[in-house]
Amino acid sequence: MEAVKATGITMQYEKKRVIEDLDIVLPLGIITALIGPNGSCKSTLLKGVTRYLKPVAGEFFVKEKLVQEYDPKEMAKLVAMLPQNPLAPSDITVLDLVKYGRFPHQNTFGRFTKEDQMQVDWALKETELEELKNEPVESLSGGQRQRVWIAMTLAQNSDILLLDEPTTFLDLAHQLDILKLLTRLNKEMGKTIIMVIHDLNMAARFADYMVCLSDGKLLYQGETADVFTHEMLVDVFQIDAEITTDKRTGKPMMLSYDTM
Amino acid sequence: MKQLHVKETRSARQLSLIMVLIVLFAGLILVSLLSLKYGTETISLKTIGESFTHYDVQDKLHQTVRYLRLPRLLGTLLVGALLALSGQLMQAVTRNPLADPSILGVTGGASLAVAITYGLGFNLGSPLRSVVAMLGSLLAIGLIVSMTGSRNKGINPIKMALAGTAMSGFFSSLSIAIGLQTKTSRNLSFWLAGGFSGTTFLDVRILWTILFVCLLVTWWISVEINLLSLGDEVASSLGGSLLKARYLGLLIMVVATGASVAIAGNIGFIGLCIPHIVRLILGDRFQGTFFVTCLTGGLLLSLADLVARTINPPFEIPIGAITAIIGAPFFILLARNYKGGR
Repeated sequence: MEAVKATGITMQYEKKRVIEDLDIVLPLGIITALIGPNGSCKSTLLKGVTRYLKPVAGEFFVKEKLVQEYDPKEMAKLVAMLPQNPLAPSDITVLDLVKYGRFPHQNTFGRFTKEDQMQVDWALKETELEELKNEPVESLSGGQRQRVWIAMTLAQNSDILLLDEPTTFLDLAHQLDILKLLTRLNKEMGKTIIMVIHDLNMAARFADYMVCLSDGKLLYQGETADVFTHEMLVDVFQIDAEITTDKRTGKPMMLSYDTM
Repeated sequence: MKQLHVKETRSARQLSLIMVLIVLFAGLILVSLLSLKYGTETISLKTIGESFTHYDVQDKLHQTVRYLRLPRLLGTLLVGALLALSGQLMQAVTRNPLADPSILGVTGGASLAVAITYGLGFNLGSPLRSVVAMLGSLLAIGLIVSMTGSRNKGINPIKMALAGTAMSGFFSSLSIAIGLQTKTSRNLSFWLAGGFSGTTFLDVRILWTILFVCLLVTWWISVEINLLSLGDEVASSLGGSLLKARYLGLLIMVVATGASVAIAGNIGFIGLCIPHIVRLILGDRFQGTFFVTCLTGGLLLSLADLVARTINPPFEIPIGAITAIIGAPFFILLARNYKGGR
């Protein structure tokens, strides 16, 4: 079964078509990297999956069911989405923000149950935020803040996580922390991870599956080792690079690259 | 040790809510007594007490307390609560800290609708006038939403605030034009300046019913209104029904603002200032604070009314002028410190 399927998708901003007649399948249970140059509509695609943007034509499916057939809360229990640069309310604490992740599991008046509490505690533990839980989110560093948002999506406890550039603006060590956390969630809990990511070496190292978009068109998709090639980099990014294997991880990586 | 820390912060927050409530209730009792006591004539507390326990129909002072000052006091409390609630809903829904029913043109729309009835020669009683004012504010908010709402994202907050300000100016010029053209400008401008000198028990009953309904619906949608503070994208991916929260929130605001304008005229800045004051004390969350907002709004508007009629007796200063004297600098301060974004 696929996590997400899109058939004949056309999307537009105002009157401008950004995606036209796109078909795409994103597999369940593995880590998928959506890559492509700026403006290739990777984020737009994710927004379409979560129904935040409506396609003008075509259908999105999540777990083989049309997205518009899900009740909003049912959908949120299946798919969690972390957009690019989310902004927290000004004086909210880490704990309060993470608690929002339980919204889809609560009734109208938001009674907080024992199970909610357990899930929140678990999310804080996984993201190593227990010590910081009473701090205001504003006072944290960029890396810590990103962990708080990830903790919120973990508290949501959905099977599929969509992340729009989860590592942008983070230093190398923090990028690795986040991506290793996502890998652990995938391996230990079977979560499907679908992320937009710009650092191609990181994408090649952590993703099992790669989807390359350019100008709203699907150019390549498949296992990372098959997609991450010299030809693809030239074709999609106009980058000339040498592809080798990372001795530490055994994954493909690019070296001595330049624009063409 | 860590566990202790958690307990401390939680109980500190609860303590501050209880403290705030104690201070508010004390303030309400004090302002209520002063409002019943002072006016054109100072009435002793003993007489005030007697007017409730042994009401004497012949006694002028008893009549003043029961049929002039009491409805007036209740009117200010209720209108203050309604306007403050409108402001808080508006700020939460548009995610714009500068939002307020008067700034976004809702008060203006309500006033225009009432001005038209004056212009046509009708002098409606307060129930019908409330309905007319609600229709006016509904029309105003409908116009703003249709002008600024894009199909995909619902209502765009920034565009909405700008459009509202323009509409507000447009509505008030139209109201003035109608007043001048039909020679009703004197009646109209007196009513527009706002005031509670003619508030009756009928008005109080209308206001009370509307406040009750508004609070009930607000309570029902408060969790989702709260969710809006995370931004549309996060809120919708958490499964929040943004449209339900937005449209019901706006509807409550239309009803609350309409009734307030119909009964007390154009009173600005209460909806802007009160939510900010409450946020300063209790933090930036909607759930659980809107009740405090209502109490604070009622307290401050009744205080403003007390000032309006005791500063230069027997003449009254329009209450809208008092709220503007305090509110306008507040608005400028907020606008200066507003960093953009949300």
